[in-house]
Amino acid sequence: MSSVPLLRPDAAPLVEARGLSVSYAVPRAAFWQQKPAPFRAVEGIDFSIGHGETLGIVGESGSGKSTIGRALLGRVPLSAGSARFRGEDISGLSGGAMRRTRRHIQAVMQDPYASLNPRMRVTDIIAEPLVVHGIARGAEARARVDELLDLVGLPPDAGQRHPGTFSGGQRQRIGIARALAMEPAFIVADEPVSALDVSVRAQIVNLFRDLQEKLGVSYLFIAHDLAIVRHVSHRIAVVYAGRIVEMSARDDLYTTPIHPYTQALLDAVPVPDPRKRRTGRATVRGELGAIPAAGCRFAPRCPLASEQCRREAPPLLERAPGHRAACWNA
Amino acid sequence: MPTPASTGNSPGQLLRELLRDRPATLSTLFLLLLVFAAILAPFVAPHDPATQALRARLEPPFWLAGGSLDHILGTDNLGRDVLSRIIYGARTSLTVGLSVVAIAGTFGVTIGLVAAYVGGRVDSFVMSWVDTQLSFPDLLLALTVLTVLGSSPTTVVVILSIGGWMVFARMTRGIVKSTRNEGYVEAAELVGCSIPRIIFVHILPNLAAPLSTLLILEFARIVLAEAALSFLGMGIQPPATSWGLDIAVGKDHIFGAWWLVTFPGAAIALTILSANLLAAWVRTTADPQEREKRFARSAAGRQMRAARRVEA
Repeated sequence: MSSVPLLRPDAAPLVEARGLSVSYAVPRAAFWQQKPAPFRAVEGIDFSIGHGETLGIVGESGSGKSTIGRALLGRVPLSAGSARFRGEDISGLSGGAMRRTRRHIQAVMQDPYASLNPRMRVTDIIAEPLVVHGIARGAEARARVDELLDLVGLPPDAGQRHPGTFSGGQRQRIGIARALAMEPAFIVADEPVSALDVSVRAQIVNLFRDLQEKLGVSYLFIAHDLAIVRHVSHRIAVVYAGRIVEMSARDDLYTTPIHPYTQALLDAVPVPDPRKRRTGRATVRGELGAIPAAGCRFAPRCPLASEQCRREAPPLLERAPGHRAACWNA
Repeated sequence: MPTPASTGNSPGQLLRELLRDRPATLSTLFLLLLVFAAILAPFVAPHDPATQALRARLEPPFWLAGGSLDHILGTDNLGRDVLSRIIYGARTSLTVGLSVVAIAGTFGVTIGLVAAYVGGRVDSFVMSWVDTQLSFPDLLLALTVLTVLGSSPTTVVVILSIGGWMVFARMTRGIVKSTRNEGYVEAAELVGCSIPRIIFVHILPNLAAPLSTLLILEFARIVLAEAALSFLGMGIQPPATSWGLDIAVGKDHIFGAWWLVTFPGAAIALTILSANLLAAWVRTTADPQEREKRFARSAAGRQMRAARRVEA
């Protein structure tokens, strides 16, 4: 279970987030009331992704992991910080410039049932990026689509059919083919397998890895399934309530987790052996609730929380080479 | 699961499905007949609708005593042929109905699309405008304007269009708003599609089915509204003909010559009924699930009839 080796480990990062923050305006309940403070979906996110590298992002529902992906795709405005692609700031791009950047940054969406237009033929769906960006049309586009269908493991006659005649896994292959049509350098995959049957998840995850090996594309792979993230990622960031609490190389995270939240997540994975008991580490209860105004956002649920945690937010500090965690007490 | 019923969208398949639905078939035939009669009125109508023949006043339909085949549906108080007036009246009804639906539909769909796409203040402004105008009875508005400006066919069309675009705007806005949240529209945006391409390729095709249903229903409503305006004397003016106008004239003779109100009235009723039945069929056909059910029902019906025949 080893991920694809990095192509150019020393080169400048392809994608970089520096202090990336997104907040959503909260509508007031009635017009005479004061406007409530905006909801800070993610705050102070720092990471970089190299060429041909996969950064996995894990977190529970509502943790803001999808918002990070949406921010990199230019779907939500940043409230602070920056997102850079090949050293160029892409956070404030407008219309035409954004469209040009889209050639290099593509997305694979979560729901393969909703993300394909049911009225279009598969060929037209996959060729749409080529047509829209004026790269190829007609026979040339069709030839490229045939290549892509082969690349993602779909039969050549799939192009003539409509998405309704395909299974979930096949539909996600179509979505991946569409994302690859522009030969992007970077793909944001937001929970690409969570809507699929367990039996086909592994196939799609393996497809992601094979494609990375062949094409050298980088991924931001968002998921809530730890096993899947471990399978595809080079590095993993754990997100809780809009902040990265721990980030490290893949195996370090699973063997020596530092942050209590990461430990709790790993403990929650069922052990497939009835004779083995789980290790008796403190478990985390409750669910993502209101974010505390100050201090560590995990403090209300944390078994290690102390007075300092409620006062000051812990910085994300390097604890071991390439292994960063944000906790006062761990 | 694709079944024979849902896969076919070719004209032949649709026609076969239409023929299986008897009310819808009859409605379509009636509407087609009306369209042909209206277009070919000078050739089909036995008489000029405005020519008076005072010696042949108030003749009854041909099957009654005193009636003749010369005036199949009788004559009115000025000796004009009732059948010819109905045929020419169809011209008025269809022209007014189709123009109003075309104008109001185009305007309403555009406004609804803009409101849904721009959103925010534009959206709430447009929708409050729609609500305000919907709260005002449109026939009253039409009567007021026509009284002040004077009546002409163009004015009638314009005023009915002004009162009829809101339903289109509302429906378009609803559909565009919900379609915009579909995953495939977001995917198209991420791919880098331009806004016009997203609107025309990904969003508007979803409008086709509900819009065609609404167009037919609105057509029926407009035909009725034109008849009402003409009946009240504010719509089509003599010597032009209109079903509503004929009923207005005929009501003075309702006890002596019932055919003056009955035949134009029946023409209105049949037109509205046909349009509604056809709209119901279109609605069912456009909805894959409903279409599936109808297909199953008709298949089951055929089987039962076959079984009964075997027993007998």
